[in-house]
Amino acid sequence: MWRLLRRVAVLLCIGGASASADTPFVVDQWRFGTHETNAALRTCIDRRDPDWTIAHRVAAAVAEALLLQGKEYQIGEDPKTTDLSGEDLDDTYRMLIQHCDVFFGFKLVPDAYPDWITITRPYYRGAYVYVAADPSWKSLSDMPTSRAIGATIGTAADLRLSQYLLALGAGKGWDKYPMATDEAALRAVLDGTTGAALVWGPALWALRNADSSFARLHEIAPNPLPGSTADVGAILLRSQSFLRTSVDRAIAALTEDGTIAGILSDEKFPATPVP
Amino acid sequence: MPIGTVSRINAISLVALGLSLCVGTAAQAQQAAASDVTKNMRPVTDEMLLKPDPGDWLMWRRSYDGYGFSPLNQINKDNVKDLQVAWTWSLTNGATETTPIVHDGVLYIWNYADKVQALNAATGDLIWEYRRDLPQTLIDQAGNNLAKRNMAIYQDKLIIATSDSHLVALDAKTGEIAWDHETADWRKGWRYTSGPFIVQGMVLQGMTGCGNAEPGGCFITGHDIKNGEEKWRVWTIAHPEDPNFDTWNGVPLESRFGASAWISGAYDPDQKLVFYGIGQPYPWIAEMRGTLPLKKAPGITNSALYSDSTLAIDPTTGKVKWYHQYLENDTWDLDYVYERMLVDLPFNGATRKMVITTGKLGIIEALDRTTGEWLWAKQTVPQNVVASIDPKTGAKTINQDAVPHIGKTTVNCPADPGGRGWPATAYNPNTQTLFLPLNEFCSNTTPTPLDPGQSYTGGGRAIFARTLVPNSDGNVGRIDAIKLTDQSTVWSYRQRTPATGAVLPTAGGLVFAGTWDRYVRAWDDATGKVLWQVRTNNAVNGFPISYTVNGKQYVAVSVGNGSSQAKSLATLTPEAVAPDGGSVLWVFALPDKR
Repeated sequence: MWRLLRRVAVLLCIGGASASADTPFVVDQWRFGTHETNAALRTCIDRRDPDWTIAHRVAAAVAEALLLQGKEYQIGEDPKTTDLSGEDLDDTYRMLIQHCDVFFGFKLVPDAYPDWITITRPYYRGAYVYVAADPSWKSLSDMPTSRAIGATIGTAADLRLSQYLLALGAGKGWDKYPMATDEAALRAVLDGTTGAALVWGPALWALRNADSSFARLHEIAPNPLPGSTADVGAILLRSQSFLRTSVDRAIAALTEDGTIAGILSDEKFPATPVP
Repeated sequence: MPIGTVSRINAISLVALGLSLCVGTAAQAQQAAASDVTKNMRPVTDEMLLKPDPGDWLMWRRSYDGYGFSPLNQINKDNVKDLQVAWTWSLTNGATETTPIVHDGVLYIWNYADKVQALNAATGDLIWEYRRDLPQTLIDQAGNNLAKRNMAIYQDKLIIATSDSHLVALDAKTGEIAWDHETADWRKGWRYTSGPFIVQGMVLQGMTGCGNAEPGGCFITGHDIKNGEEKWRVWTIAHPEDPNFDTWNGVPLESRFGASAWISGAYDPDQKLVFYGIGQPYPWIAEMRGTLPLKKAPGITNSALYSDSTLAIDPTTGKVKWYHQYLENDTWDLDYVYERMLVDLPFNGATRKMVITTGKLGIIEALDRTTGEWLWAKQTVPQNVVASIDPKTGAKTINQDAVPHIGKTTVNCPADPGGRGWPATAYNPNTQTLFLPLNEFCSNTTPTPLDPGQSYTGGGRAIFARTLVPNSDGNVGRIDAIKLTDQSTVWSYRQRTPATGAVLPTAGGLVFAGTWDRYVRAWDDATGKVLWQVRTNNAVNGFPISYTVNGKQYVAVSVGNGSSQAKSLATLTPEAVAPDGGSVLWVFALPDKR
């Protein structure tokens, strides 16, 4: 296994990324040439992501497994001044031609990615969670329909909740308010605007670590809805097929030997490895 | 002191320059050695803005009525075949989308990423240059937000909106900063993509970038021309104190997004009212933003005001006199944000003062601009979103088959970049004809969970797979001429590649426009026959203008790649490739007589 990975590592060092005609437009793309860090695995992580510490450690472990030197580029150390605008996945293209070969921390959402992106196998599985302040509520079904759910816009769980409420018909379920971010959804529960929030579990974990006011909130069971999970992996340019294969194998090996589980456990991170 | 000709720099200015660099000055300007055509430049007065000199181009659409029409006729149907390049000027690479301003022989041009230049309009020689010291983060983010569609000029000031959400007044003769006002915090996502509009001594400016990170929506602000101080603010989403607050299906203010005011306005001096268009609500899919299905509660509606509306605003107070919403509860990203034209035309036996606009649906619509009463509509490109329009009220019946639903794929025409986009329509008052740059295409739309990471927080929460219209002959781009007196189609020019530039009708009986395949053309405005064309170096992707210097007429238009709208359209014609670099201002004129 490791011999194979080493051989792949050598191959990927001589294969350069090339942009296809379908890739996004970048002004003066000629400025971004062939990477000359042949012995390095260049990775990106986004520090605005709640799981960036996990991404950071997994990226390092993957580089080590490939016998490459990890070279990490951190985006958005100050969340207010990140060099990703956040408006479009096209922005990640610039990161992938300028700063890294592998960009960690992406949910593996079917059909959500353009053709120029390829996705690795997942390194963890997280859950979307319902969160409330009322201690008497153990599940969503305990919440009166007079209260609203604040759901972070556009997540897979948000869409599932929307479909459920649409199936019930107007006025027969809870109102659902779209919230800009997980933090906004949680703060709306704290200030009483909503009764419950639907957020990404790792985001709740990160926010609780950063702000003690969120300790007032507790997770409630999703019933009558089923639980929603999402797998998280990394993205690469589709042209990096050799590298993608080797990263996949590294993640598989790190999952199998317990490295990923150890990282998640160390961080007390609410997720599980994906066998 | 951020100004000085290289040859004029002395010890004092070097010290000053060094100091300014040390403290991180927000802007730099430099004046090149050039023939000083600014010497005799007159201050731009209210009277000039009300009745611009035919040889000047003083604002985005040239005149307050928004026509985008040039009264010049030196270049005409007979001689346009002789039109040739007078000069060119390279611009910073990136989305161009810009409109030059011309006054008394000086041409001002915006460059991608906040560089403004004053050029001799006859020769293209540089007079001065202003470069804004943008935060590196904004430069790294790049994209369309570093383009600006227009600037403004008033008295001795050129007034610009910057990519870091400031309004800045520059000395029109030197490029020195006169004042600099921060309107909003760019770090929170606020952006300017269009420029100021000067009315009654006020600077009016619309805000964009009001996506998921800026709950409560966008706004239009009015500023003191003397120092940029904000005097009023009109929110483009109904706030709690607004009588239309309950038009968002009961979702609270912090869950309302969008309604950008990303295009400049028009002004009716008789009524002393400005007219601004407002964009679509965010996220684009109504089921995601909570405005579908309609909540069964007294007084609650889901039209999502004031998205996709015209606002008639008192420019001195910001008071909204009336509004009209063209598309309720938009769930396709089909803005009605674009230019408003103030046209007086007969309608049902009486002359009506109209405000006319065309949204992304490609439907031309006329209102009475004194009351907001809806008058008439005219469809252009194929569309399947609106099934019918009430001929008395303008109320639209939506084709429910075109409404996107979570878990389904639906077809809507046009697709989200629009049957028309930001490239402006224009009106020839001599022939009462409206000219429109249009495109025909559709979208297979699938609402999709798009939360792969923090790298995606924008407005689109769906996959828009753009396609040609059913039974298409392969043509995408169109230029249409519509007689507004009876809304008849005079001619329609169709071609394979998309129409990516605004149109310019002139009193010479011509219509200038450009396309993705790099052609600038002049059509006979009566027949649609191409009378002249030239192939430039890149996609024609700006607002063409015409002006005179010393009695000689010029036509200017910017080209360049990078506009997101043009790039989206170009996916329909993959065989037509525009180069990555090479933004250029092209200026054409007739050869001098020997």
